[in-house]
Formats: sequence, C-alpha cells, structure tokens
Amino acid sequence: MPFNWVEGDAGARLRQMRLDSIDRIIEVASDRSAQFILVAGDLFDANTIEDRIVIQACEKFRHANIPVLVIPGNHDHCAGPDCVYRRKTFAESRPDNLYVLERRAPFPLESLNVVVLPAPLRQRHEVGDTTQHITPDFGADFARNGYRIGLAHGGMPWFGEDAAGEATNAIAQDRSTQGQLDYLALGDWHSTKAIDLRTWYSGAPEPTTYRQHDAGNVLCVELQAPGEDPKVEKLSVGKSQWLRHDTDVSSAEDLGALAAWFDAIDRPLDTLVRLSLVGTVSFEQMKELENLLKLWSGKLLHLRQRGAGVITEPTAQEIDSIASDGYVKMALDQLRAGAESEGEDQTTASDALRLLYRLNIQGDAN
Amino acid sequence: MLIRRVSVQDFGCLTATTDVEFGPGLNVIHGPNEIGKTTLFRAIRYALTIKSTVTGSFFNDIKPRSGGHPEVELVFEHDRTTFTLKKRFQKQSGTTNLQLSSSSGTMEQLAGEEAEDRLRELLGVEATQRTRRGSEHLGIWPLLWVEQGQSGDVPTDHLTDSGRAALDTQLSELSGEVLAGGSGECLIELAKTEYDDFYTSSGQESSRADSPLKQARDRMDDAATALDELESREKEHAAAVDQYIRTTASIAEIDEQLPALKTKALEAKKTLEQLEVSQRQFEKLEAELRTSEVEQQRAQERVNTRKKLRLELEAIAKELLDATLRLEGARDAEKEHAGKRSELADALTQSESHTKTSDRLQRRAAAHVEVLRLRGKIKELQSSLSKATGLRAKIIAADVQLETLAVTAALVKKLTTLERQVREDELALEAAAASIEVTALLDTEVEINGDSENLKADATKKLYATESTDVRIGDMASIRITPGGDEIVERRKDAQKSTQKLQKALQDADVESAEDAAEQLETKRQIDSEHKQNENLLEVHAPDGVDALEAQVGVVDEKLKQAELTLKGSSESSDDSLPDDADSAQNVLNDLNDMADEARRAVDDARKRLAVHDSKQQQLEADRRVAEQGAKEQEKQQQKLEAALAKSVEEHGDDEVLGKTLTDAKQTYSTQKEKVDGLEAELDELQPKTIVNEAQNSQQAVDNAGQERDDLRTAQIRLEAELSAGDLAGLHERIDRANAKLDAATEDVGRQTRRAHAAKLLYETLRACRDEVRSRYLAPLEKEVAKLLPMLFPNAKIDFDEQFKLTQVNRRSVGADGFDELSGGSQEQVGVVVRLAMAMVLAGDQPLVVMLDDALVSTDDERYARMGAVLARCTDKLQLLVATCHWNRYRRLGVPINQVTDLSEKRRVAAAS
Repeated sequence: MPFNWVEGDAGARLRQMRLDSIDRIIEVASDRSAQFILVAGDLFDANTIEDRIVIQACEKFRHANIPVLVIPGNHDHCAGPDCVYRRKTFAESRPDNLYVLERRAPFPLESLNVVVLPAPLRQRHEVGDTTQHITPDFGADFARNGYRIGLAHGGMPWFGEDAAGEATNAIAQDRSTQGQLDYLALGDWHSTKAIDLRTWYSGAPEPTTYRQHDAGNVLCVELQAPGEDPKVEKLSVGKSQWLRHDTDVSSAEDLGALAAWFDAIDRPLDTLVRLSLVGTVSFEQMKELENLLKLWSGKLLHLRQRGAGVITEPTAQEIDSIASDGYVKMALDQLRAGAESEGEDQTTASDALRLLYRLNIQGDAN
Repeated sequence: MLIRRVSVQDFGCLTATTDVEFGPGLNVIHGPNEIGKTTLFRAIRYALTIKSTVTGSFFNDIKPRSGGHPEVELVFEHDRTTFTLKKRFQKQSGTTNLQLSSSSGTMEQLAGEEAEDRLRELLGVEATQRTRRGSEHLGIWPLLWVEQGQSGDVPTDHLTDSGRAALDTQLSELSGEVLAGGSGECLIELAKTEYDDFYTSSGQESSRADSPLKQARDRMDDAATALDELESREKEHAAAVDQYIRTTASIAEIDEQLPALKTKALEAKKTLEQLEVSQRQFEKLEAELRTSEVEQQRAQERVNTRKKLRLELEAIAKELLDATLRLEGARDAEKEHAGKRSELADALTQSESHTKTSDRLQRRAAAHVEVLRLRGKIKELQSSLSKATGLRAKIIAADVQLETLAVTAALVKKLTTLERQVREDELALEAAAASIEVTALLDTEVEINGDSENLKADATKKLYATESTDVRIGDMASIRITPGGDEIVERRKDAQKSTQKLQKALQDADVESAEDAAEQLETKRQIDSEHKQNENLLEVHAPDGVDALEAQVGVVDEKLKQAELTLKGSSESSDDSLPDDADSAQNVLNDLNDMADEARRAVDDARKRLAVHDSKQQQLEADRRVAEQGAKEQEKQQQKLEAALAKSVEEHGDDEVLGKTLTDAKQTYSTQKEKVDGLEAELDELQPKTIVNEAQNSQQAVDNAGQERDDLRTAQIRLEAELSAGDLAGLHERIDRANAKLDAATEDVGRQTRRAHAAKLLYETLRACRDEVRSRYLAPLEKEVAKLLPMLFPNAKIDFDEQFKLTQVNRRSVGADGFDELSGGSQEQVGVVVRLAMAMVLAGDQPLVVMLDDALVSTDDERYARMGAVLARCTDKLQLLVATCHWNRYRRLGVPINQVTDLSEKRRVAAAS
C-alpha cells in the first residue's frame, strides 16, 4: 500500500513498516525453527509497483536462509510479461531461496518429504474454483506418504460483502479434504481467519486499513505427521496500530473524555487514529479541542479526522452581543430562525450566523 | 427657536448701529452687494456660537474697519422663554450677558462663561477654540445656516457628527427604527469582502483566478483529470493483459488443431489427383469426338454448297435478261425528252425581248411625269418669290418711317405731367390773385388791360389779377389793380418755371402739345403693327429669306433641265406622244408599270419551265446509267458462279463421290460418341465438384490457421512489448497518490462551497435587512423631501443612504443623476431643498432658524419662482432669514412688510442718526 492519503513522513514510515514486517516474519521463523515460509499471494500490491519496493523486499528475503515459496495473487497475478515476477528488476534481485510458483505444478521439497501444491492466479479475476486442479492425483508422484500442502489465493464463496476476496477467485470450502491436504495456506483475506482445522487465512502481516479487526499476524504451522491435523499458532508481527474512534464532543466533559481516550493509547508513535467527531462547542472549547488535536497529531503516527467534525457554535449571549437593534439585529434574527429550522438551508444559515459572529469580532478588532 | 431682533455695531463693515427686526416665517434682507447682508448673518452666528473672548482669525474676521469693538445684541425666543443676548467681542476683555425672561414672568441674568455655557447647551454646540478649526463643533447649525457660495455643496458636507446624531435621533423617534450605524456598514463591508471572494456583483459564481472556490474546483478538476489519465492507463494495461491472455490461448488452440488439419488436406489432395487423371482421359476422347463431328459437318456442307451453286446460276440467267430490257427502255425515253427543249428556249427569248420594250416605255413615262412635277414646283416658287420681294420693300419703307417717329410712351407721359403741372401752377396763381367781379348796372364797355368788351346790364365779368391790371369801366372809372404779397410772387415764379419747362420739352420732342405727341405715338404703333404683319407674311413665303428662295428657284430649274434631258434620251421617234396633264401622265405611267411587271413575270415562268425540262433530262440520263450498270453486274455474277462450280467439281469430285464421303463421316462420329458417353457417366459417379471443394477447403483451413497464428503471434509480440513498458512500474503508487489528491480536493470544494453559501446568505440577508430598515428609517426625511421637491421638479424623488448622503436624484423627464451630475443651478436648488427638509425633521415641534445667504445665485427666474414656493411651504415650521440682492424676485411672495429689511436704507438712516 502506498499510503499516499497519509500526509508527510507518516506515509513513508508506514510503507517502511510494511517492508520491515518481512524482517519480523523471518525473525519469527527463525525463533520457531520454521523449515520454509509460504506466501499465499499478493506479496506485492500491484504488478505496476515501484522497482524500489521489489528490490528491498527481495533483499530482505535473502536473509531468511530457508525456502520462501510465493504464489501470485490477484494483485500480482502472472498473466503476461507485465507481471512483477517477470520484471527484469525482480529477476536480478531475487535471492536463491525465493521461489515464485507461477504454474499449477507441484513443488516438492524432497528433503522435507513435502510437496507444495500451488494455485497461482494467472489473471486478476479467474472464473471458477482456482484450486480445482488440487485433486488427490495432483502431486501424487511426489512425497509419497509425505506432507501435501496447498497454497492458494482467493475467497470463500460464503464470504459476505465484507470479504476482501473477489467472488471470481473462488476456493472450495472443503478443498483440503477434496485434495487430501495436510494443510491449505490461503491468502487474500487481510485478517487472520480459520476455515477449518487445516485451512487458514494468515491475514496481512501489517494492517492496511482501519476495517481490519485481526491483521498483523503470521501463522506458525506445525505438521507432526502426514494425515494428522496441524498445530496452528497465531503470532503477531504487525507493528502499526490502527484505531477508530467516533464520538460526540459538545461539552467540557466530552473534551475531557476525548483527552482520556488519547492518553490510553499504547505506543502512540506506531498508531494511526481515524477520529470521527461531531458536536458543537463554544469558541473557547474549540480552542481547547484544537490544542488537544494538535498535540496528538504530533504524538501519533497519523491522526485522521473524518465526518462533519466539531463546529463552533457561539452561545446565545455571544450571538446577542453582535447587535441589539437595527438591521444587523434583524439579519441576525433571520439567520438564527433559519439555523433553528428543519429546512434544507439550516446548515447554510448556521454557517452564515457563525460567519457573522466571526466578522463582528474581526470588525471590532479593526 | 425664533430670532426676534438683532442689533449690530462696529461689526465688520457694519459700523453704525444697525437694528433689524424679524418675524416668524420668511424674512428677507435685501440690498446691493457689499451692503453688509453677509456681515449681518455672521453677527447672528457669532453671537450664538462664538465666545466673546475669541481671538485670532475669528476676531480678525469681524474686526471693524473704523476701530472699536464689535457688539451684537440678539433677542430670540425658545421654549416660551425670551433670551436677550449681548456680546461685546474684545479679545480677552470680551463680555457676554444673557437675560432669560420666561412667559411665567421669571427673569434670570447670566454673564461671562456662565452665559456662554447656557447658550452652548441651548444650541447644542461645543466651545470654540481660540484658533479657527472648521465647523465640526457647531452641531446642526452648519447644515441650517447656508453661507454664501455654499448652497450648491453636497448637503451632508455640512452635516457634523453631532448634527448627524441629532438627525438620527429625530428619525429614530419618528420612524421607530434604529439603523446599525457604522458597525453595520463595517459588517456589510466585511461580509461583502467575503462574498466577493466567491461571487461576482451580479450574484454569479466568480470565475476569478483568486476565488477560493474556483481554485478548489480547478484543483479538483486537475486531480480528477490526472486520476482519469492514470486510471485510463491502468485500464489500457488491464485490457492489454486480457488481450495477451486471449492471444496466448488462441495460439495454443491453433497449435493443437493444425496437425489434424494438415492430414485432412493431404488426403483430399490425393483424391483430387486421381480424379484429374480420369478427367484428362475423358477430355482426350471428347476432343476426338469433336474432330469427327467436324469432318461430318464439312462433308454435309460441301453437298449443300454444290446444290446451292446450281440454283443460283439458274436465277442469275433470268435476272440478266430483265436488265437488258430495262436498259433499252431508258435510252428511248431520254432521246424523246431531249427533242422538246428548243421550243421552250424560244419562248424565253421572246418574253425577254418584250420585257426590255416595256421597261424603256416605263422609264420614258416616269421622266415625263418628273418634268411635269418640276415645272409645277418652279411656278409655285416664283409666285412666292414675287410676293416676298413686295413684302420686303414694304418692311424697309416702314423701318424708314419708324425711324422718323421718335415719340415714346414715356415722353407722352412726361409731357402730360408737365402740362398738368402748368395747369396746377396757374390755378394756384389764380387762387392767390385778386379776384374781381364787375357787375354792370347798365350796358357798359369794360376794358381790361386795353382789351375792351361790352357788358350788358346785370351781366358780371369775373377776372383774376395776377399782376398789375388796369380796368376801365366805360368812361366812368379806371381802376388799377395791383395784387401784392410774397405768395403771389412765388406762385407766379412757379407758373413761369413750369411753363418754360413744358415749352422746352415740346421743343425737344418736336411736338406742339402732349396731345400731338400722343397722336404721333398712336401713328407709330399702327406702322409697327403693319410691319410685324408683313414680317410674318414674309416668314410664310420665304421662311429662309428671300435670297434662299431665289436660290431654291435656281436649283429646281436645274433639276427640270436634267429631267427634260432624261425624257429626251428615253424617247424614240416611233413612240406615241404623252399627255401634258400631270394626272393623265401619272395614269399612263401606272399602266406602263403594270405592263412591265407582267412582262417580267412571263420571263420568270419561261425560265422555270426550261429548268424543269433540264432537270428531267438529267434524271433520265441517270436512270439510263443505272440500267447499264445493273446489266454489267449480272453478267459478272454469272461468271463468278460458273467458276465456283467448276472449282468444286475439281476439288471434291462429282456429286456421287461427294455423297459417299458424307456417309463415311457419319458412321465414324456415331462410334466415338458411344465411347465418350460411357466415360462421362463413370466420372459423374465420382462427384468431382465435391472432391475439388474438399481439397480446396481443407487446404484453405490450413492456410487460414497458419495466417491466424502468424497474426496472433505478431499481436502477442506487440503486447509483450506493451506490457513490458517502463512507465507501468510505479503506476500503482501514482494512482494512489492521485486518488488521495482528488479526495482532498473534493473535500476542499465541499468546504469552500459551504463557505460560499454562508457568505452569500449572510451578505444578502444583511443587505435585504438594511434596505428594509433604511427604507422605514428614512421615511420621515423622504416625506419632507417629497413635500418640497415636486414643487421644483414634478414627480422627482431623492434617494439617501443611511448616512443621509444623497445618492441620486430621479426625475421622470431626465432619469437618475448623481448630485455631481446636476447643473450648478440644480445643485443649489436641490441642496437647499434637502437642507430645508432636514431642518423640518430636526425642528420637531419647535421653530428652527434657517439662514440662506444669497443661496440661489445660479437660479433662473422660473426656478426662482418655484423656489419661492418651496420657501413659503416651509414657513409653518421654520424661521427663514434670506439675504438677497434681488428683492424683486421675492416681492411676489407677499412677505409681511415688517419682515422685509432694506439694509441699504437701514444703514443710511443709521449713519444719519
């Protein structure tokens, strides 16, 4: 994710965190003595990604010292010469331990008595079940009585609208059974999710949006014997923290509560906050709120405000102080009536009233 | 406030004590320039608003020329109290005394600063500084006291802040409305600045480059365009990928199908080759069959040709005989026709001779007719010439006679006038002369100046003695009458003078009297009339003159001689004589013309008949030549046919041999035909068309597949190049950035739009409210203006802003004008009207003093009259003190006599006393 919606250095930091998640994955693999790493698609966000990202990712995987098996996903599908894995940059940067399984061909890891059965995506949207070829016969010539591990990218047909995977790149829910697999490693879904005992989405190693509720993990899968259910452990490798907070700020108490919510954030420097505030405050309270937000904008990795926001609403006394008679008073009354009505122009009338208040202060200052 | 009296002494030019009384309403102070009207008004202003201890330029303005100290005493009423104010301006020693007498009888005396303070409080003015500093401290009075030369100023130029406040208070009280004042204007100005950021003055969204909304929209459009371009590139990329996948799949499909297609094409080709061997065999047999068929046809043709030759020879012999007979007939007809030509040629010769004779006779008769015509013509001309010669002699004689008669109508008139003058002078002489009447008592001889006459008894002799006259009556008396006096001498001189003048004129004209001259004039007119008649007759007989007429006679005479020669030349001795009568000669000529025409027609007929004959002769010759040619051709054809028959026999034998050859050829053809039909049936069973199609189609399928594969491969290579393009790397990030930029720009447009709507609503609401309140607030002032202004300009209206500034004058006939656009005269009139209207508002229920010092100097008489009505209209509320040097313009207003002050007279009386 380029994270260009995040202004300034924060975007660059986020991009770097994602790259650095490779280091943490390798670290976890090393800690757990993993024998190989499976990447279930979308290693890269797009086939049109910058060369710099490609080079840096390759460079990081070079330090894994164990095989890293990657299949193309819907974002880095392998249809033609534009595929990132066929790019000259990738060819020149690829470390020897990094394998891209572009074809639907079994990939044996003979020394481990493992055969990896890939279902790479050859285009962004493939019609039908992309794992249909993973039958008991597929890869039967390899690793006889060994471990059969499926590696695929796509969605389950029953995923709702919220599912990240597109319906076209479907995967049969019982593919691990149909294909007599010891484990089916899936990608596309950014949160960690178990489909059955042998079928798991690991999720993205670093969260990428505020919607993901359980992202930032890798799965450590331990296969004890062929045919037995695997032991799967979820390990956090994500560094960034993505928080959403929707609240109403219309009083001094609300302001206090918001300050307390901010104070409770663990690791604010790695945290992104999407704040949706509504409410009306006085000019004084607005100054307080602005100070608070300014403070936390500096502390947090990123603070993003969404929604109508908090608006300044002068008090009735402040409004009344603008004019007590004459045509300014008449205009003020008309705007106030508009602001209090339920009509379409209510917002405009409120804005106009606030503008009048501001201009009055400005006029007095002049 | 009402000023009742002012007394001024040693104030500027007003040195002697000058008292002026004033009444309510209109007061006029008049007098010539520099008489002190302005000084008098200044004295009132100084008394009311300037401290008596004033120094500097204030004091210098009023310092008397004669020395001494300016003194002013002013009596005025306000709120049922009479104020008597006495001021002596003497710099630091100046004195002020103020006495207040209320209607209830209480009395109060104030002096010095206390008096000044009370005065300022009463008038609403502030203390004057010692040095001059404008009029801002003077409250409402600069507006109401119109100084000389200020009436054409914008009225609000003389409205001080405190005056404005007073007007505002009064209007607020009258209208029940309060304007927002300066703060409101400031707010509107700020709101307008905000509004102007987004909208044009006409309410359209601003397209200015610095408009925040425009800038936000431009940024959004730019971002959207940039994103569109990038997404378009991405779509192109996706489409290229799809195309690449399809192309690759199609190539694989072709590669799979191609071997089967090739095998099928090879088999079909073999079957086709076998078919082609059979077809070539069939074609050979078929060619042989066609050869024997040709042989059979040739034998048959030879037999037919010989039969035909024999039949043609028989026919040609018969036709040759018919042609010979036709030739002989043609030759006979030609010969017979040629024999008739000499008869027709003779008839033509005879007709031509007859024509020549008749033509000659015709020419002779024509010459004769011409001779007769010319003789008649010459006779006519000679007659005219004779008459013209006579008339010319008469005209010359008349010219001579006219030259001798020099009398003119003017001369006759002159002589008549002179004669009348002589008669008048004589009558005048008689009138002046002594009139003598001698009545005889008996028959008596009377002698007058020696001429005697017998007078019967009772007869009376009357005479006039213009000069010394001797009258003797018989022997009884001799009387000398001598008329005397200057008049008769003058009359006599006149009579003698006119008589001499007449006689000289008669002598010059060579006539005896005016009557004689008139007769001579009449004679001259008669001769002149006859002269003109003769000239007219000469014009008839000789329009070009007598000489021309003589020349014409010569010309005609020459023509006659020529005609006579022609006649002579065309006559022969044998000819009959022609009549001398012109009509008869013309008849003879007409007959001869007819005869000549007849002869010519006869010649034409004879020529036509000969031509017809010659044409027929040519036709007969042609017929004969055609018959000769036909006979020759028949002979030639006969010879040709005989030669062809001989040749046939020589080449192909006689008729018997020819018949056998035909029978043999028919037999050969029949045998070969059976063979060909058999082989054809065999080929049909093989369905050659299907075999050929199959071979062609299967080969075409191979070729097509190859071509399609080549095309696909070319496309694939192209797509590979396209998909490997360098610009794709990083496109993902660029799209993401463009999306973020567009989102931000869209949000900004929303914010700016909301700002714009708020600014618009605020500005428009403020303006609408201001207009509404201002309209109500200014209503009392506009009402006062409406009472006065139409008296000056019908249906006119003035618009004010809330600072009471006159924004425009609307006149129905002229349209809307700013104050500056008005003429000088209109500016002072409108200015005075506005100041009066404001004074009416300020007055409330108390009278107020308005001073107009020569305020209408640029106003013409008509407008002056109207302004007079305006002033009169204000007198129920205002006390108007008007200074003018044109009293005649105010006389018609009926100002009470005690309120009209002739300042010149006042000063004269003051100086005398």
